[in-house]
Amino acid sequence: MMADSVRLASGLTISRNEEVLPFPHAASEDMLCTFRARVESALSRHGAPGEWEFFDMDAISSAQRAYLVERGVMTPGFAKGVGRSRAFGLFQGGRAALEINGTDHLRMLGSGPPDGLSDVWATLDHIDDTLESEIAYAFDERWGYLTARAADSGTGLRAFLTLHAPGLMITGRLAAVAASLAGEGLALAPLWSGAGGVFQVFNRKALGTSEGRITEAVTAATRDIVEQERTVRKGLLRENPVSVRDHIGRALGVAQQAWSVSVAEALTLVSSIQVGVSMDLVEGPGIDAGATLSLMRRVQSAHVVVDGMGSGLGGLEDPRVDEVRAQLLRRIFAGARVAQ
Amino acid sequence: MFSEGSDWQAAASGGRTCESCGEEPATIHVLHFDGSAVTHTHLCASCAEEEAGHVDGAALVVALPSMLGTVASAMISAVSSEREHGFAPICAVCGTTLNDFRENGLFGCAACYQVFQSYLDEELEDRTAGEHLGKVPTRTPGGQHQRREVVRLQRMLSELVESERFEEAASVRDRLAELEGQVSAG
Repeated sequence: MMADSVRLASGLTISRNEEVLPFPHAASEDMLCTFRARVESALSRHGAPGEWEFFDMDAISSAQRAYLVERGVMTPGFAKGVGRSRAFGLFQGGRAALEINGTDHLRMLGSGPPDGLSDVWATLDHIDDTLESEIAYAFDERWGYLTARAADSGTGLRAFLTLHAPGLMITGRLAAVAASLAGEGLALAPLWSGAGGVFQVFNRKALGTSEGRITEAVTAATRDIVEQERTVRKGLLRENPVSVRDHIGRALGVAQQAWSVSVAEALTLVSSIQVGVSMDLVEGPGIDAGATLSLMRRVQSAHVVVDGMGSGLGGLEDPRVDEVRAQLLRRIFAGARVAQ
Repeated sequence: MFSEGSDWQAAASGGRTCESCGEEPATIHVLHFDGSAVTHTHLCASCAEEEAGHVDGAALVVALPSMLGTVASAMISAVSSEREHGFAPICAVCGTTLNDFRENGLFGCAACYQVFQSYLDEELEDRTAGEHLGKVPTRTPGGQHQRREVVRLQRMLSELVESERFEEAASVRDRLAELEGQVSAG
């Protein structure tokens, strides 16, 4: 039970390039537009009707881009970029996605539940095979799939596991975790600038190893961190029962009563309350230790704007976003209370 | 979700040395959260580990690799090699120079891997660990012959430029442009 409250999600990205065209930052927009059209037509031809939907990136609003990033179907770097040749493809309503003409010509990506890496890989591998039947990839026996960043060459694969580790964060143990991960060719990076204690473990190296070994290494390292987080949470409660209950109770009080909440504060509140839920310190109708990720998504700005269409919000910069977010928190935690 | 940290630009901190010992290359970017203030430190792995031991419970420490060791050291060795040989290589296909690569961490095309290979090679201590071991392309799309010809001409162009045979290089380049146009149109 506790393990599931620490591991939140998994994700994969695969980078590929066409053999002959210069990489996007060095190629002309016209060449990239021709390439993009080839990719879109190849995937539409091979897949079932309606399986792929393609969007012009210039036609996607900033709120929609942020929403896609929050859903885990677009990378933050691609969302920020510009250029008329850039396109975004959504596979089966979001089961996977394709970024065209970002840092590399092609980047396939997908997200899933914590133990879903192999399913995500199977989906992306299939898309990769389909693309490869039409596009000659830049490939070298020594360097593997060639990418704009030399560091991605090899498998072109990055595997991510997202963890909720506020215990390790507040006890200052993450630097040690990151240092030990670095020794294994892995890395730790904060998601949402560390708000809510959410981090991602991913591989730094894509060369000299196989796709299977990369996902195994990330999974194995994560298992160890989950165990440490679980131990820290138990230790904190055992040694400081009053301050832990006080901290969680205060978070719940703010979530139930506040009238304006920023995204960083909302993530911190949800984080504290959900730790309480996982340790049976918070109870009530609709409370679920497995809901951490979905709650953290719902309080993100683009989700508040898109889900709260009826609230008449103008966009991500609308000052009322914080008010609507506070309403949402009040609604979510209305029936929750600190267990006696 | 995908963190921005995973797409760090190698050049953003390329060549930086550890702020604590000043000797080893900094491979870990440590953010100290103290209330609302955030301070950044770039450390080597062993100083970061030591640092982790000194942090009291009130401060929050987050660490992420500030760069990729491979690329950063490759850039450092490229600089020293440049000093030794007195020239900086340039990719004749896309025009990427070693300096461009050092600034933004990006190669411009597949041929760059040939042009800058020696710099990446020097970096790899365990050469067998540097070989690609993953999936390989199995299908060969139509027009394969034309594509191989493009790759062959790209290599030839690099060599001609390197040996300063510019007239021959110009004609290879024209032929390449023509072929690339045909290939990109499918």
